[in-house]
Amino acid sequence: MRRLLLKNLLRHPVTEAAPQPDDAALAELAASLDRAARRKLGRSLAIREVDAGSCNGCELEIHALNNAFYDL
Amino acid sequence: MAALTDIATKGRQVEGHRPWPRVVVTKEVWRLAIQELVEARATLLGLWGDTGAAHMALLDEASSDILVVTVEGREFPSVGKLHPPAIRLERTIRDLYGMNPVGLPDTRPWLDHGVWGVKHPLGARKRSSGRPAPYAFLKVEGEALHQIAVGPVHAGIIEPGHFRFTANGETVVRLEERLGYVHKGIESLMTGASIDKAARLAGRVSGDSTVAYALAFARAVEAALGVEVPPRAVWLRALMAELERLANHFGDIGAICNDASFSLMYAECGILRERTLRASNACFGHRLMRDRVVPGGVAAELPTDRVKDLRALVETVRRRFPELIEIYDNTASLQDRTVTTGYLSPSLAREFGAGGYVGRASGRAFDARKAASYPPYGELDFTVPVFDKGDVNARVWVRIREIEQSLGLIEQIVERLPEGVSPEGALRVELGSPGEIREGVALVEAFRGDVLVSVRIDADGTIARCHLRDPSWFQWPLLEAVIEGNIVADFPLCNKSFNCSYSGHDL
Repeated sequence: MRRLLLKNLLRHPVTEAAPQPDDAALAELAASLDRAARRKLGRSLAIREVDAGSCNGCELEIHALNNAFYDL
Repeated sequence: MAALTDIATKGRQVEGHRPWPRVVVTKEVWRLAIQELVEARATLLGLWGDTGAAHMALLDEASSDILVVTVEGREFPSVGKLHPPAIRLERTIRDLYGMNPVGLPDTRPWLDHGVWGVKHPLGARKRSSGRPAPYAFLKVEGEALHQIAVGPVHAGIIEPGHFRFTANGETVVRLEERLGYVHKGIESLMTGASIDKAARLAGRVSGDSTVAYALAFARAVEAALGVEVPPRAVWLRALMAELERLANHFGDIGAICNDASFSLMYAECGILRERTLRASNACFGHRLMRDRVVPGGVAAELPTDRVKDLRALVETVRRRFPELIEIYDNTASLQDRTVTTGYLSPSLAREFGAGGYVGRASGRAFDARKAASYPPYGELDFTVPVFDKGDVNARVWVRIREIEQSLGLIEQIVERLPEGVSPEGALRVELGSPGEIREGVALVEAFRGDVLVSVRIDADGTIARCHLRDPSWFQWPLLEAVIEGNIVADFPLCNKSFNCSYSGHDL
């Protein structure tokens, strides 16, 4: 195990750079999302995924966002 | 085979049911069939309702023969009364069709929680209040017992189900499951659908097994219509099925270790899973390969320049996986959690016909790729790893060995993949309308076990009835058995080592 940990320390990280969206587009999206959240929820947005009839495909892919490649 | 042959000769064989026979029998012969199950001469593969009838699929494990037995009428002698693996299936038949399995020991609803607004959606539909009905959990009596209610919504991004634990201190004395929260009415949606639409529905029964389900549905339809699939498509299907198996086994091994708080394995296995999904995407244009297997063939060609992605994947796994196995096997704190935990006896595995790694970790060697021997597996060289310790560790080892087998299968398929006959039409044949009622059955090995699909196609080519039986039906009840006597904290490990499907079970 020590060998693997050492190798991983020296290796280039698997995690990939996040996509670089245009700053203005990002700001606009954040503002509109915030407005919608405040109107509908009365507070800032928090996301909680609840499976109400999925085939489990979405859950698997949301899980994948936590893997070393995306590291969300 | 004597047992099933005997029953087959006592019934009226139905024309146009392929590839295995279906016979309509009297209640007396139905009881004989139940007796075959009770005396372990046959294994229950499925039990489902239909308009005015119930069907039961039986397997003779020695000869791999399959027989579907049908009893007509709104009532039939309960199978579950004498053979417990049938109990939840019969509760479901009551819920969906309003039929009466006479003598069924547990008549509580199963999938129907009272919130559909309709009763017996596949039978004589009746409106219902849509208010949730109270549910009586089994009584547990004794001193110093306490209950822990978990779910249906869990603290994670996972499917919903309710677990009612009764514990004495840390030790679980009983677990009772309640499922049905993700019932989508897939079999209702199938009825009257075109074959194309039904194929897409089949691919959405359980997202982790979309290839296996699409394949099982396609094979049932092709059997019914007598369609021969182009050789290249047959091999591409197996390639996708093995990629799906790989991805799921990596995910599960990592997740089991993570439930013992060993996150290194989770991270490393997550990388291998992601690499498998990316290779699948590069080759077939979808990470989970949804809608790529279709009745008549496949809907995606493997581009010649993507074969190298598959070779690279196999090479990466061969290089990195042995090190992970070594860590798994040599970390005492991890072994302490998996060895002897969640023991499933071979006799229970056999009685329930437990498929996949659940059965194969408890000595039941059944694998539909060998037993139903659908192409191209008869031409491929692979073994079915079987262990007999029946614990979480054995279920991990089955997965480890299956990963090695799947790598070998992928290599063989890539080497020997037949050329397409022509650029167009080489991967998929037209189905057409049969002009008469046809029926087909298929049994396909998904990563968690055998998926059974039975389909009846009307003369105009639409689906009259389609039943899809997830392997989880015969694994979920066993999870209740294996947790007994274990500590509450080991439940996640036991649960993940089974990794039963909620969606595939709830339909």
